[in-house]
Amino acid sequence: MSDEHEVVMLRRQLSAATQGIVASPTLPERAAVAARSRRRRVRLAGAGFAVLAVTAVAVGAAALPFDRSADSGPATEVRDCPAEVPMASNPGLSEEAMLPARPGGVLACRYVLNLEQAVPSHVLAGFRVLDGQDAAAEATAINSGSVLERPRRCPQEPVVEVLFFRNAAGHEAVVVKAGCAGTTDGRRVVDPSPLRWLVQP
Amino acid sequence: MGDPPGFHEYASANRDRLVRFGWLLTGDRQSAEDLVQTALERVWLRWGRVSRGANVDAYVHKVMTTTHLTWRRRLWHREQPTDLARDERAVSLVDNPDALAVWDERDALLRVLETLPPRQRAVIVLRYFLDLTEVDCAEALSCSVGTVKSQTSKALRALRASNAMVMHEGGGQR
Repeated sequence: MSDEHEVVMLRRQLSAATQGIVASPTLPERAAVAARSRRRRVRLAGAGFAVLAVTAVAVGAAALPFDRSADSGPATEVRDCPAEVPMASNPGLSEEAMLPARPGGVLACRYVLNLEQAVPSHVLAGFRVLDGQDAAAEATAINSGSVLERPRRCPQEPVVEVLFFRNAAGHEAVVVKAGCAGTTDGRRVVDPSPLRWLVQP
Repeated sequence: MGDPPGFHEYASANRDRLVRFGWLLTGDRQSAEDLVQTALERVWLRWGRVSRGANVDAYVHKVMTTTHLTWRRRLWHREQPTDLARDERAVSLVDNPDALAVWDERDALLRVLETLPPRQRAVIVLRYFLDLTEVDCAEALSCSVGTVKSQTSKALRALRASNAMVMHEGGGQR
């Protein structure tokens, strides 16, 4: 077999092997959010302000920076809760842990379903900051949650909580928690006993 | 604060291609998405300058390649998952009746690529998946054209020795 033929075959193999691999539709948005966060942090550092100064969101300011213990990972760089519920990152079936066992700072944004609107939708209702033991406990609870093989559609939940954190590779990731029992949708995790996680505001 | 003009259009139009490129470099989809996200984040910050240049793709390829090689040198990348394509298999089997054959082919290709050193693997992917010239490869890898030639030669020799290019001759017809 000639070298030229081998190269042709290699090209075909590389192309064929990647057919069907598609990117998450939220990938551009995730990159933009991370870039905005980085630029803001750099500008603030240059201006001599603490990062805390720009953490104001619609419902108040997160208690940042996160406390960080020696054996936990880096904290999320996300400082603002989005106005709307974001999509979970890296959709797709996975048997990996949702969160690192000892994540760094986690920003948890809570959304409630506003039934007074013509088309009910979730609105930002609050947030909490998890770090240290609290973040580890949250990761344990989520990682031990039920995961079904087949995702299925859930009705709109009255309360949804979105966790922003750094994954094991050190990159920003998002997990969406809802109370639709026993289901999962990619990286959207759902607790079979929602009251343990989610408390009505 | 919105995206710089043209960024979102570029990222949306090229995300699948970039993730496929990342998948061939890293060997799993989530790492590929992490790699593309990191690269696009850096491109976003320099979009004004990058988009005025002649070739946005070349810049993105360079950022992805150098970022990947940097990650490979870090300690946590020495931990390798035992089942690289598990989630790929799960998704493919649902979506595609021929998924098992596709997955077998992917798995075989990944195992062969895993045997190559990171720079040789990158050269193969840049040259034969992205179809870059040797000059463009050298730019992406920040090395000389001579280095690209020698790395390509070594990689092809290794692939030939593993019978990878002959063993899966039917795979490319799909």
